[in-house]
Amino acid sequence: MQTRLMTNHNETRLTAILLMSLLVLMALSLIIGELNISIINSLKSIVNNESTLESIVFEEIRLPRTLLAVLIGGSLGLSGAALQGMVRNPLAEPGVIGVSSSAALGAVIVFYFGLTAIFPMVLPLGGIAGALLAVVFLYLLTGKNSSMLTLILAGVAVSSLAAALTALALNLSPNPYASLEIFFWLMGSLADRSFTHVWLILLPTLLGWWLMLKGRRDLDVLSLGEDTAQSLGVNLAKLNRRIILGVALAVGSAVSVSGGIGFVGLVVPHLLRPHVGYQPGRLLICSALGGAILLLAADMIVRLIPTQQELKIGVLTALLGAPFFLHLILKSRREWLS
Amino acid sequence: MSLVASNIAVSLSGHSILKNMSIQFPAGKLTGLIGPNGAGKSTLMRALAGLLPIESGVIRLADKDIQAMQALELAKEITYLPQLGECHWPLTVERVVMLGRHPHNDGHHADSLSLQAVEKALKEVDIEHLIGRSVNELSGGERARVMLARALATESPILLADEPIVSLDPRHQIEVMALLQTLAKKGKTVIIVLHELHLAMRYCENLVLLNNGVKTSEGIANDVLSIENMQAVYGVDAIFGEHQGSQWVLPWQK
Repeated sequence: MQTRLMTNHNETRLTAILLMSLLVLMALSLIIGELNISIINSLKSIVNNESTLESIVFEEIRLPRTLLAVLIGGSLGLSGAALQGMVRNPLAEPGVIGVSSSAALGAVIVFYFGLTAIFPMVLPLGGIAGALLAVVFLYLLTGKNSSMLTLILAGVAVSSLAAALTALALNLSPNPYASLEIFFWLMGSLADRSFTHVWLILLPTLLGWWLMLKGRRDLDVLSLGEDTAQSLGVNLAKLNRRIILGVALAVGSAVSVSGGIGFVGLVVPHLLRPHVGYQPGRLLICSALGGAILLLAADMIVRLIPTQQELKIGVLTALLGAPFFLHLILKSRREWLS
Repeated sequence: MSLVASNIAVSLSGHSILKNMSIQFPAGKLTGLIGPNGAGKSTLMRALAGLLPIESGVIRLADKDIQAMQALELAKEITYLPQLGECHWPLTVERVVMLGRHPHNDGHHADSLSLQAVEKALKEVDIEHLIGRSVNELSGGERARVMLARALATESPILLADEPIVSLDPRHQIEVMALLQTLAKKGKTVIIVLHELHLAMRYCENLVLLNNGVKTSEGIANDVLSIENMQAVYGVDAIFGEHQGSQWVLPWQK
């Protein structure tokens, strides 16, 4: 019977498969594009300090873009899964509940006042501050046992407020070109980013991941409700603090570099959940990998689709994610009524 | 291990729920906590589990003040089973029961000790056939037994269960009461809330009767479930009888 109880190897296998797929996609993302390049040649040139066209494209464009897709996708997938575990609600997603738009607002304020000129780190900090405000507000508003309805309505309120303030900034902007630039930035994209962006968000992103992953066992226990979790030794206040701060760090810094990329944190955990036995804690690592895979794949698609102006990745994820969200709502309509 | 509440008072959102209550729960006995709705039974259970701040008084486990104990340390000693065993995700039965091992090893590295405890708990509450099923597709009674197995898997010296038999059919009610009695005989201190007075009378060695946040009576069942108490506390006339050497009670009319 003991073997029947040990069901962990499934998750190990899933993690391995996801990791392998991610590595393969990363390699493809480095090679494929308007210019097909060889990773080995590029690395050789970099080591020998030669600058060929190949090595420049590789170092300045492909590599940072690939790394950003992995970091940002990982953050979005992981944050979605962690938030869902914390509020015990599968619809909690940074984009849907307004955390991403608040982070975007924070970044827009930084742009607007030209604060990045003082100190570049202000950009992710602005995003993190915006995201933190939204998560704390949502947590206070929806309280301990949030119904789907309360959570979504609170998210609508937070999103609307952030969108209104962002629009205000665009509206009052003295420079129409700056407005246009911010407007396009808000759609979400990984194009034209450099290693500066990677370095800017690397630390807060990894810190956010670490905070969320530290809570993974407690999230499993939280499936049984707050009283039971506490009686099993979970420090709820500490767990909530960790997740809130972790989500704010990861999503805030992601959005400050990429703009708004929605639905990754909704789609990925939902698809992977059955494969980890629905345990919210076990879902975390898989969701981070899945998010990175999804965003990397989406980024390759927008790069390869021959449109006159490159399709924004945020537009693509929204086009695919919104119908998925609708499907989820229709599926859980019964729970809505409760 | 004994659990002793001395002069405890608890208020919830400004309302005084428990007033200066002192109860000694003897080690290795099955204690039934009874009383009408709103008497404060669930609040007392939550306070005993360390889930509620107490305004005054102290709850001691052996000689330690439970409010001063670390959450994980307390979780190894006292298991609490709430009234509605909720599960927010469709976990499988064995995973839910495995979560009961969290205080020991976080229940995540399935070591052989944990697996043994889980296996034993599944067997004790007779739900081995439910392995692999999702808890959310079980009947209320099956789910209640899964939650009880989760509580037993912790293997703590003290078990607090709030209405563990409320959704069970008569056969499983009797089975669970007999199981709790056996556990108590083996040394576990078991404290349960229940409304099934006939089962309380038959299985609980010790009864505590609460009313309006005050302890009204305690002791052996025959003393606590007296005609006078049934009238004064529950406001019902009860019929008493005897079968195979033990007493039974049946609340009959207002």
